[in-house]
Amino acid sequence: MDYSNEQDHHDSMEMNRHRLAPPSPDLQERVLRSAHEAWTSTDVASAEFSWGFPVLRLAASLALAMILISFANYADKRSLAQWQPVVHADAVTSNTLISWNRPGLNRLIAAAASLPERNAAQHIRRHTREIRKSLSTTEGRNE
Amino acid sequence: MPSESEDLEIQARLLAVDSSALDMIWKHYSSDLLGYLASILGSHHDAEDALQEVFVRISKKRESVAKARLLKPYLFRLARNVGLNLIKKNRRAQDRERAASDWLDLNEEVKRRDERTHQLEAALRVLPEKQRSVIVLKFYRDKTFREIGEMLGISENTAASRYRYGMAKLEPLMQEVS
Repeated sequence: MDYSNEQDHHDSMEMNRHRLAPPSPDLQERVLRSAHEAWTSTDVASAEFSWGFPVLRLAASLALAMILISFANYADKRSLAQWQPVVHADAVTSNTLISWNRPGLNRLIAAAASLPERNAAQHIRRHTREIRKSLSTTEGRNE
Repeated sequence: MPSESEDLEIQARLLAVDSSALDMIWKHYSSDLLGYLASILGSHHDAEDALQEVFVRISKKRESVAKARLLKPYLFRLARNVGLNLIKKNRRAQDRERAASDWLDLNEEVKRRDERTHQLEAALRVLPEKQRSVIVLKFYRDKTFREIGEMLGISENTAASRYRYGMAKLEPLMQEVS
């Protein structure tokens, strides 16, 4: 530390020219009056209420939690209403398809039944494409 | 400086909801608290307001004050919090510059405030608050390092080193501000 006794002496001299004013009687009167007022206002009532505040806070928190949960339930019901499960039509079986008596379709079903599962899928896809093609040709002709 | 038994007497009165404890605190601590607050705030006027707030808080939190392990550091920590809050508030109000002036009084043999007084005030204001407080309590409240340590809840050695570091900075700061 580059601090010398000479500097110390100089600073001390400078500081000794000054002082801090002590508290004035006016200040004493003002401070003690407000302190005594605060003392009275927080007297017995505050001591009795020391337990009341946490209980009130707990009750308020519970009420708020209940409101939030009810609102969340309401919002949940409202937003999910459009996604409620609907009653689906019965699945179409191969027998139903055969009963429609469409020669192309019957052939397709018969071919698919005779093929292994993977090939059957390819077969069905190919035939679907052919059916779409012939349908579009037919529509073009009708127009 | 009040003795430990006087501090215990104050705490006993607070616990017994006896408001004469406030008068005892005033008697034993008001000058030191005012000096400490002035050192934090750099304004005698603000220090007076802060002292009022400190006493109001003591009244409101008398149970905590009564149960404090050591009264002295508790009171000075309370004063520091009040002082720092006031600084924040003043900063928001852009009132700091106006407030931070004329907080040192002159000794009777010195006739009037001069440039050196302003330099000293300005230099003290630039010092870190912790060093400034120790210097002010040592110089203007005639406290020993042990007493300062007890007040601020720090060791005697810490108080001494804060003082020395602060004083080392003071001279160059005074030249700078001049």
